Amino acid sequence: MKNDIQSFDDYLFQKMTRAEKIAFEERLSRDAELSAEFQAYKELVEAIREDGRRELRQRITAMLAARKKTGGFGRQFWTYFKKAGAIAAFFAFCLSGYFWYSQKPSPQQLFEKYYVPYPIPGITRGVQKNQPGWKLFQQAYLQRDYEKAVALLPEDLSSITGVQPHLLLAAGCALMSRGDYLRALEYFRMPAVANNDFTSEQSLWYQALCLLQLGEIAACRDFLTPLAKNSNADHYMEARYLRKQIRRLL
Amino acid sequence: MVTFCCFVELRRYMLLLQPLMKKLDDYAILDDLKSAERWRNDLALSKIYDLHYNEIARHVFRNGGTTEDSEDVFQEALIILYEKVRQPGFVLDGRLSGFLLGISKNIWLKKLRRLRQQNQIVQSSRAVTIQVAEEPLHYELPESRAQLMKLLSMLNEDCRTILRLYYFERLSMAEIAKRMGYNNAQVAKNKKSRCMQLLRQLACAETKKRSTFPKEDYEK
Repeated sequence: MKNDIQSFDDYLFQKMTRAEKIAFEERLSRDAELSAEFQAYKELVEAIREDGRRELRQRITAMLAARKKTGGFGRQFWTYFKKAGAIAAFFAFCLSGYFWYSQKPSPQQLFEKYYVPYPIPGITRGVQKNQPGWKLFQQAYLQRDYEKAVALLPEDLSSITGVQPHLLLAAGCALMSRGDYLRALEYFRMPAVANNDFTSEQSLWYQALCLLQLGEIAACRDFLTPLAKNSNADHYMEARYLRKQIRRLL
Repeated sequence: MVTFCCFVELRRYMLLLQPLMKKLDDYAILDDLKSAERWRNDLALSKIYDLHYNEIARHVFRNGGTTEDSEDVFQEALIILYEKVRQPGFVLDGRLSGFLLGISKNIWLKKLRRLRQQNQIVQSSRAVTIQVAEEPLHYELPESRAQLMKLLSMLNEDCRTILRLYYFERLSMAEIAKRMGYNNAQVAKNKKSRCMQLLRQLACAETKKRSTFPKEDYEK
């Protein structure tokens, strides 16, 4: 009997070899009693499986109920609208990027961002012994008293001789700080400043800023180009960024 | 520009790998479902619910079903999958989603056919049809099976669990021993034999009782 149950199990769980299976089926067809017993056994196994299914069904129902409880509206909303939400978020991102990009900075804003008065190198200080006016100008400029500094500048540019180009640059910057960009441009374009190896790049940079403030964007870009293309130049990075930003103003 | 190109390339590879990753996900779920540990089974059921319930529900809604119908169909499909996975030699050919959807479609089609037949019968006898639409999805068990299940409920909880683990979940004796907290597989085997013997005796006694008494008397 015990062996029979074992062979019933092996047959039902497909653990028999092909030969064993054929032998068992032959035995079933010959022995009517064994066949009836096997049928009854199969019924029992099927009932046990049905019991298992019922238990599993209960487990799944409990899981679904728990999910419903924990899920709630938020989860359902997320399930159904996550794709739409993702698309909406993407469009919102693109739209905000577009608005951010389309907001053009004004020349005034750019000027305020990039303009720094020229710092006179320490080596030039105290050099203008024979020109007391320029000495006073230097003192006023270093004290950031631009009004006094501008008042000390000569009216006629042709009278300026033998002055350090650094001081001439500072004079231009003092005028820029006071809002006199045209006069400042004259100082920056003086041959003593523009042709000097130490100050020519600074001169270009400040001329570009003056032109930016005067609204001459194309001319400003022309002045920035040589600085932006020479990585060894003074104000190389600033010139690159400013050139990029004024491209949108053109 | 370089970053953008890298991003595009990466995305391309990820797209290529996506089916493989999903397939690996399916295998992981089936492994959990096959496992002898109950918490892993529950985890797999929960994952399947998260990943595939919406698809099945959408199919049922499109074919005139309600939320309750979709839950019933999903439940039946899960039970079939649970049993299939534990059968020896089961191999998942395609994707799990396709497999589940196929089962669900069949279940829903069967239910629709049964409902249509019942509707026809009821309409021909001029009865109210609304009652038919609210019938549960689960089919009636044969009377003999129902009797056997009643006998099964007479066994103690341990016996029922062992028989269920062996015949329904198809666990090995070692796994059953581990799950039930027995010392070794032999103990589980003996216990299972004893329980099965008890169930057979109960079934024999029941058959004798039914053959001795006429059916009407027995039911009274």
